[in-house]
Amino acid sequence: MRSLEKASHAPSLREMLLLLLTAALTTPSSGWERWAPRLAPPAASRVAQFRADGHAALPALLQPALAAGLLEEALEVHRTFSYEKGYKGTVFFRASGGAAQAEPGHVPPFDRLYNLEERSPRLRRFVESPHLAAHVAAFLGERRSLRLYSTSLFLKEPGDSAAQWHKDIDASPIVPASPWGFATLWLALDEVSPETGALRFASKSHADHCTYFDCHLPCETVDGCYNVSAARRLRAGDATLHTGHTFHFSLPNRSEKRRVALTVAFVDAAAEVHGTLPESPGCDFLK
Amino acid sequence: MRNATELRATMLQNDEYAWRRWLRLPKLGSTRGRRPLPESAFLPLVYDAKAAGKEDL
Repeated sequence: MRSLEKASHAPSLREMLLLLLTAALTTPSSGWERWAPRLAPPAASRVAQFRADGHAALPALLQPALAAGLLEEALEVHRTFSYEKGYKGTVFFRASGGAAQAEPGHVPPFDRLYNLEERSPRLRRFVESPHLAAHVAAFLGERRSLRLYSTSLFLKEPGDSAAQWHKDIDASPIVPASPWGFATLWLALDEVSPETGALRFASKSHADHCTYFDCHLPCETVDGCYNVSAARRLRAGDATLHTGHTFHFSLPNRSEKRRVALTVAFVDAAAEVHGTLPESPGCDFLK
Repeated sequence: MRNATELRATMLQNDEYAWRRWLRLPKLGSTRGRRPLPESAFLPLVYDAKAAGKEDL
C-alpha cells in the first residue's frame, strides 16, 4: 500500500519541470525577485520626520548586494548610452556619442540620464516594483495611488559641479493636489559625502506654497527662508526621500571619487498636468 | 558654471522633450489649462490604493 501511495505521488517529468521553473522564478537569489525585494515598512518616526520637514533619510533601504547590482546595471546603461537619432535638445551627458549632438560650448555640470529602465529590464523591474512604491506610499499617504513619473541617473565625476537650489515639481508638468502628490526617492549607489556631492534640503519648504512660477517669500535666498539640513553621508543602499515641493541642491564633487545616484520619482495618480506654464518666476533667487 | 536661470532653462528643455515623449503632451505653449494625467502605460501604476484596501470610500 505504502509503495503504491508513493508511486502515485511521484512527480511526473512535467511536474518536475514546473517545480524547477517555479523555484527559479521565486528564489530571491536566482531570479527576478532579486530586483524587486520586499522592504520593511518605514518607522513611524521617519514618516513623521518626512511629513514635518518634507524630506527624510532612509538608511539601509536596500541590501548592499542589490545596490551593487543596480550600480552595475546603471553604469552599463551609461556606458552604452547615446541619444536617439534626431534629438536636438541640450544634453546632460558627456560621452562622445551624445556630446556630438549637444549645443556648442555647453559643458554639462554632471551626467544625467533619464528613464534608464527603458534600456534595462532589471532596472525596470526595480523601479516599477510594487514593494518600492508601497514603501513610498507609506510616507505620502496610502490612500493615494501612485504612478511612476520618471527616473534619473546622476553621475558626478571628480570635479563636477553643484546642482542649484530647485524644486523638482518646477521641472515637471505635474500639478499635484498637495505636496504629498509628488516625491523623489534618491538612492545612493556609491558612497555619498559632502565631498562627493551630497544633497542638502530646505526643511519645511514643501509647505510654503512657493513654486518657481508663483512664489511670494519675503527673503532673498533659500538659506534666509529655511533651516537647511546638513549634508548627509550615505552608503550604497541608503536613500533619502523628498517631496517635489522641497527645495534642495547638491554639492559639487570635490573628491577623487565618482558619485552615482539613482532617483525614482512618483506622482499621485489623480494629479493633473499643466497646459501652458506661466512665464514669470516669482522668486528672485530663482531667476 | 551656468547660473540658476540657465540651468533651469536647460532642465525645462530637457524635460519638455521628455514630457512630450512620456506623456504625449503637445508642445508647451500650445495648450491651456490643466488636464488629468493621461491614462497610460507611459506612467505605470505602481501602487494601487484600492487593491491595497486603502482607498478612500
